[in-house]
Amino acid sequence: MKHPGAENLALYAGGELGALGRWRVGAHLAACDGCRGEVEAFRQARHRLREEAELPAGFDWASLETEMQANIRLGLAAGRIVAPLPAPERLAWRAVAGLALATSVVLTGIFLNLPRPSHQTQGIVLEATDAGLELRENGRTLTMLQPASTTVTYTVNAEGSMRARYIDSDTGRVTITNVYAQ
Amino acid sequence: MFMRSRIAVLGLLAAASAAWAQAPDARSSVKINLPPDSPVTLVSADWGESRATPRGGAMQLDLHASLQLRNAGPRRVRGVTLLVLAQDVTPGGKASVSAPSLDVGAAEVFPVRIDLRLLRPLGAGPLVEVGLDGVLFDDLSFYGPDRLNSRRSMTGWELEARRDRRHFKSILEARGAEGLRNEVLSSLARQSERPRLDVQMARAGRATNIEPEREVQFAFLHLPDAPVEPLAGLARVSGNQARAPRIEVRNRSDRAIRHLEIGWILRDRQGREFLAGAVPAEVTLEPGGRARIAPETALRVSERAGQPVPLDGMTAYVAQVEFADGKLWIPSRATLADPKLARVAAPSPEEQRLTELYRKKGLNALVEELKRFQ
Repeated sequence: MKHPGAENLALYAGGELGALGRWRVGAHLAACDGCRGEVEAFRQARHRLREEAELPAGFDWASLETEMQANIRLGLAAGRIVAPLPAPERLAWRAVAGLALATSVVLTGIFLNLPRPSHQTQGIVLEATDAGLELRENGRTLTMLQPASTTVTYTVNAEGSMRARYIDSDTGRVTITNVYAQ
Repeated sequence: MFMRSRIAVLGLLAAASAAWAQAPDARSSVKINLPPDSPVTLVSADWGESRATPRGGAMQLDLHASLQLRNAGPRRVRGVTLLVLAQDVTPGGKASVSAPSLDVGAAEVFPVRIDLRLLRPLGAGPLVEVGLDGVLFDDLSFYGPDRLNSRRSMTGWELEARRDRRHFKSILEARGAEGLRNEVLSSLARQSERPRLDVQMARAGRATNIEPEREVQFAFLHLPDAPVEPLAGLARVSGNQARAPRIEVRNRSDRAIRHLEIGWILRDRQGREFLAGAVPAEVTLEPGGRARIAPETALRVSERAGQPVPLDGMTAYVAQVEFADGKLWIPSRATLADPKLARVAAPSPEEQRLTELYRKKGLNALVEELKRFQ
């Protein structure tokens, strides 16, 4: 089995891979425990980095500015030496239409088979969100919804459940929803 | 060339029709199963704006159901819990919808709403199964499989409801309608002042914070009438995460205890306190006996905007006790008047319902509602 490169796995973990690449890597991950583990490690590393909100003390802004300016100059210089691309030949309208349709079919197929991005999970995660109580497991989600305008009281049960309580504005009755990770 | 274009068009149409074929009708995605001898029966189900929508490689099901249930038995119904199963979506998880604080007589009809969203891969099997987990009656008897421990939850809510109605009635008798109005207004003020934070919970969680983890001791609120006394406890705290609480308790009553629930109050670095949750435990506690509660769980706390709330301290108190004979102990109103508890504890479902009734319909409606219950 040919494994994707580390850079592709890292881009996949961050959701930054193109659609086709994401599809190919996703298909590979479905059958490869080793690469799945690597992707999970990349995700956790990203997560840790996100939490490290503050820059290190004594961060050298002047040095960063100089480096960025040098990079911009290099990019402009490189742009000047690239020759203009030749104009594409005109295709017959039927060929263009056929090509567009074929592309549409391929894109539709890719779109329908895109794997859903999965959340950073540690097994089952329960979370109170604006929409309601959310139970997440391996990217699959069950949300017990609640009216947007309602005041909701949340409680967490350390045994593995979460509860939301609100008053139904139409009936005046109390509704209590629970999600359980058991 | 024309033939090739036609093939491409046909392919596109086939792909589109395949997508729609995989999008199930929201109503047919739900099965409602009530037992044949159920004391509540389904009268009707209104599916409103329910819909199933393909989203990339997944299917999103938005289910909005309003069920009309009838009390088919002779006893008055005080509460109902429906079990919501989506095993295909979340193999390790389930959900429920409870309607507490009911007062439904024989043959009367009452509504229960179910609003949920499922996100799952395309092509998976059917989806949601709604069943009955339990019905609580006015004599505190119970019907149902009780897979979610609904009997205990609904009995607790019913006892709290009786306690709080008694409380409001006693104020009405002692201080009149204006006294009741003041009490309701102070309850509404407490409810609006309770800090609201987002809490995320993971089973067997592990620290992912950069901050080093440290052990923090619990402080305890000692409730004079509680049958259980907390002795010592600690949890591991790192940044906005608290996990692995360990609490030692002693049964100071003369009755055996089989279940208890400890309220878990967290304090952030600004000194704000909020009730994060409950630590329940199945125990076998003979009179005078001791037990250690140690669930493997992790709580992470953040502001509603998503900003983590660094934690600094913790307080615990005994929130509920179930004796071996099935009887429940809940804190009295006098106990709940403890300043710290009054600040952080949520009102009971019934207190919330009654105060909301006052807010919407006024004092007279509240007084009439209190008179309905003996």
